[in-house]
Amino acid sequence: MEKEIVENGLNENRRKFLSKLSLGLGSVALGSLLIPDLLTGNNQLDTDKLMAAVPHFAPKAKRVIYMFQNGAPSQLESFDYKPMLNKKIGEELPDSIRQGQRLTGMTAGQSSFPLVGSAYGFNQYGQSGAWVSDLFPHTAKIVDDICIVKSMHTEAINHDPALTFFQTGAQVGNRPSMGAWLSYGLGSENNNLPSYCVLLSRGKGNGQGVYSKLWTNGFLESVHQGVQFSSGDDPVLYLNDPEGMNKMDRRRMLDKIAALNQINYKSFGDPEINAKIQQYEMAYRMQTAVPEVTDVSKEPDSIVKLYGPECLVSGTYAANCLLARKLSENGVRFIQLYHQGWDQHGNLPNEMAMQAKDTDQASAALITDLKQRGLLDETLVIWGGEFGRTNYCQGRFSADNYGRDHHPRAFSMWMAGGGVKPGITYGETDELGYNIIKDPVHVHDFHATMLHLLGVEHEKLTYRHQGRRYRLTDVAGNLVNGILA
Amino acid sequence: MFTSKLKAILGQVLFTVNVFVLFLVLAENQVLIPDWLHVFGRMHPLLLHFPIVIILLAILLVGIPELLKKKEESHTYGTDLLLIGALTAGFTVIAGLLLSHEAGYVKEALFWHKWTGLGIFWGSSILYYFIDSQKHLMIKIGASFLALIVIVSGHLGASITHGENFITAPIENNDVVIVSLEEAEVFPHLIYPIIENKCLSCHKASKQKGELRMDTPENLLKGGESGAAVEPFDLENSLMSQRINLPEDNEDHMPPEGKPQLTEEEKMILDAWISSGAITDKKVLALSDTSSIYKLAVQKFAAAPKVYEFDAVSKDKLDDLNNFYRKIQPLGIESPALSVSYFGRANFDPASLAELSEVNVQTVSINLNNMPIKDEDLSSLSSFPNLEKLYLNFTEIKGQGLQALVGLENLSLLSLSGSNLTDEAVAPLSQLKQVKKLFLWNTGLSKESLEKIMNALPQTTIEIGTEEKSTLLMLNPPVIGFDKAFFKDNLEVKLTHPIGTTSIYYTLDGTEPDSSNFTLYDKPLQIKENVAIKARAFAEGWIGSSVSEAEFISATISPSTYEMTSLPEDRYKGDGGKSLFDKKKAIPDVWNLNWLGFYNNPLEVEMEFEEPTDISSMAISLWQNLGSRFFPPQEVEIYTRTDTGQNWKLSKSYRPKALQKEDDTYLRQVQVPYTEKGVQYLKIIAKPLEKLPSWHNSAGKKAYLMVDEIVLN
Repeated sequence: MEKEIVENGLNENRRKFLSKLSLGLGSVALGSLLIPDLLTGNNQLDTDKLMAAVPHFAPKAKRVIYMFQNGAPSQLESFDYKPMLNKKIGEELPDSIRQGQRLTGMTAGQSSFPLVGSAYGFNQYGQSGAWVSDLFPHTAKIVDDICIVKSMHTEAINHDPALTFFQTGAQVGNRPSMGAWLSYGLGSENNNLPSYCVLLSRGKGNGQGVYSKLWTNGFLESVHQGVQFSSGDDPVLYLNDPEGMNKMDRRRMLDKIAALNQINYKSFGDPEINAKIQQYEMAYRMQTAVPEVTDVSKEPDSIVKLYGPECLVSGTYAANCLLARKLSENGVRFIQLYHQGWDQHGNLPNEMAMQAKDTDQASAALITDLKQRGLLDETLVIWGGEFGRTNYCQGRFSADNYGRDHHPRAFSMWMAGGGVKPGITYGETDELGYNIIKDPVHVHDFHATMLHLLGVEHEKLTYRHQGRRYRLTDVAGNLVNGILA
Repeated sequence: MFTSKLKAILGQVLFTVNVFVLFLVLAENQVLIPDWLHVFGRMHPLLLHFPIVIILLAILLVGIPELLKKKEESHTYGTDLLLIGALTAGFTVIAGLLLSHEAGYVKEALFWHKWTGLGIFWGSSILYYFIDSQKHLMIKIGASFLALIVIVSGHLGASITHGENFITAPIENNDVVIVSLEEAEVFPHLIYPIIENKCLSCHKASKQKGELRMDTPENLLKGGESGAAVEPFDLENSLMSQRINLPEDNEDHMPPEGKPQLTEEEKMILDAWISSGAITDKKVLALSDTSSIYKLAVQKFAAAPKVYEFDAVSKDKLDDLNNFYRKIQPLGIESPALSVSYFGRANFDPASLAELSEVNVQTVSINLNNMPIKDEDLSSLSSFPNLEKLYLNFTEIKGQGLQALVGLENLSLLSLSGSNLTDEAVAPLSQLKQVKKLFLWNTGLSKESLEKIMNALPQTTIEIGTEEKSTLLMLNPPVIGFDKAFFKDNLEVKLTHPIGTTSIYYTLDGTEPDSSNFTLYDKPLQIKENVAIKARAFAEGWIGSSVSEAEFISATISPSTYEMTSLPEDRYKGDGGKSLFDKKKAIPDVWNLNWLGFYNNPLEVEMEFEEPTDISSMAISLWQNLGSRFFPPQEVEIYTRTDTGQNWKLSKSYRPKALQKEDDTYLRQVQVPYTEKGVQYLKIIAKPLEKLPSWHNSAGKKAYLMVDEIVLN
């Protein structure tokens, strides 16, 4: 407790006062040289305007639904068709291709790296003729609405750093995740719901953990943290009034707490107290908003068929896709789904089939559903994992049962809606699917592009922390113009 | 400053220069300049700085002698500086005249620069010769005039080299006027902006490098000294295309090294323009839509955001209009256009639409999805002249109110999905020719009505959704709901399915339920003995679900106290000893907290019953999973004693049947054949398998024993 008191005292001390003063006077002139917009007012994104955050320019997409396939689905059994791997099955991965790629502890000790092709067939679909594996028949039907990127690459080779990198732009923790950045940069569209929601589900395949650091606000205000919606009767925990408490009592209690917090705020000046008052108020409004949003009982039969009957079983991937649509419809800026179970180090053909079966229909349904509501144009939908999988077999090798290790150099994901060019395939890998040979897209590039689609210049969305400005894209990131509609 | 001797010499030199300049001016058209003199001519841009500075300084000293301590000194310095200034002006003029003989400069553009430059030279010479006369006023006027022409001439010269508005460019409004695809014309909006930015600074009326002007299409066709810049349809013979596509280090590459280069996109546009005939008088939309120039243009203009003419609304007004259930937001920081979204069906007040009349001009998008808005509420929308997008999904609109939208000329997207429209909607919708995208999925409109609308709006993309009736989907299995799978006397089991309209068929005898072998579920089941329920869901229009199953085991006896005397593995420590008698069945998931996993230690548990109890059967509920090395115990030993003071006495030892390679993976009860009457103290030791059998992948290693319950009856 003493520590807290000291910390709070630091919120209004001489150093802070002087630094505010110097920022106000002395550095204006210098500042206007370094930051050209300082005097013309474009700087407001850098200050904390919770309610007034506005995109830098008219955005193509207003919201994002990110269907994160946690564990890294194999690109070679989904979208990156490599018949050469089937021809060369069992042959050794040439060193000229591997080029010293660092391996995970799981295959680093392996004496041989036999290439293995997809156990599942591929076909071309749609007018765009995109290749999709037999495991994803529903996605195959929507290929003309999506943009498949086959040339994603990342820096990390293990789940936790790769996930953290994808979510926050840095492999180490403590940076804000992309949903928090968007909440910070664009604010909430609907002030009765959090601007960043997180939905979890779990498949039958080998899984990897998800943890709340992935939807952290990092050094941003805690209002930007992702709010996890759980399965079951109580989607947002601790939101409902306890039994016996009526709404008037709750209102009166909140008013009193707010008054007390105000007193506290005046004496300590900790901005987190203000955030807390706001969060209590939002929670109060969420009491009516959340049940309205999460009620799936009024969804027509055709929707149940579209997403598959599992969509009525709360906590499943299909239910989360449906809920994501409803949240997005209600103005939630960033909805992050995590579906676990894509980590196929062994038994890949079996597990991948189960995973695909759990996710394929609902993922495709989300696109179709948004489209028929006229919402796909302003909603950016993203499907993908944290890295790819190797073109060689991990563990015991056989043509119909094999595993694949983590592969950072090339993997596939798809995007749809909100300003993304539909019906195209972007980027290419070599014939063994190991290296990218055309149009590589780094995770930072992906972030920059995503922000661009939302009307945000990734180089301008910054937050000052510990003496420097931070961005989601760190000091990198280029727009991927080729996928912009 | 200068000695009088030096002054006299310099005065003579000035005279000579005057004579030479006069000769050059008069004989301008007769002289031929040798090449080596051109080198001197090219020093004009260097030399010109001297007279500007020196003459202005001289005028300052002569004109305002009060600047120095001694007025006389000021005059002396001023006079000497004027002499130097006049001399350098002379050399500058000579160099300039020589330079003007080089190609690339147009006489007209140079005219005023040349004569004002000469004016400086002559003016400063005259001023110098008369500076010591006593006509102070005349000298002051002359000096001021000289200062003026120095500035004018300098500016004119700079305009030739740097461009007309070089100085003012940064404060001028440089925003490129972005036109929409509909308005875009080929030459003014697609081609000229590229040329203007990258070519025009050297190829314009005032500076025609290579005698080429690129400011109009005619001049491009006319070309310069090397020929026509543009030959319509003929890319190979168009010099412009040749030059821009040369490698950058080639001497003929354009724009020259060091100048802003063309981007790939710009090159593609210029080439496509030439090869499609260098059209100058058409709109982009009039081009053939298969031509590459059309595609490039569409790409360029479609990406350009729309520019709005109206004024932005003040921030205060926006703050006033924003509340928890209505968000009004500019499209971007600098955009005056607003988008409006409503949220919270329960809090919607149709009257709040009227409040938007304050921003009716600026509003380009309104989202009323899921709001209980009715037809009559739409009338206020007719006063939103710039409305482009209107979302009315899942509202209470029937259709007739849509008439209010007919006059909205800018309306390009209208979404009515999920609203129950009647045939009254057909007439107004058919008039919405301006709408480019119309969403009518799930509106209840009949096929005929939809067809009518489609026929009336051939230009509009109409989305009516995709409902696939041909493919049948499989139902998901029903949910078997119960409290605890191990029960004492009686257990209530409910079968439910998320889709309310399904029928649930079940069996209790272990057979698969199907159309000929089932009991239809209608009320909760009361379970009194060991059963395995298998259930499937069926519904019309669906394929019957897969089977969901659950096993219920009667466990009538529980010890009053018990203690686990050896610890399970840390990874699988479940809920401690409680897990063994909590009546909860584990699921096949290693993280499930009902599992106790034994590997290094055996399962060893001591129990005490309230009173002497008859035990008729005993079973260990465990997980058999060959791949994960979860095996039944190697041996189970049962000990008893009659009071706590005694030692434990072995009363039964049992070895379960060893597993075979083909055995299944499943959750099972391993029965221990043990019956005894009047037991008060009981101890069970179950040892994990020491050595996996030879057929196993990990033959010879130990196995795990995964237990979730000990069943006593």
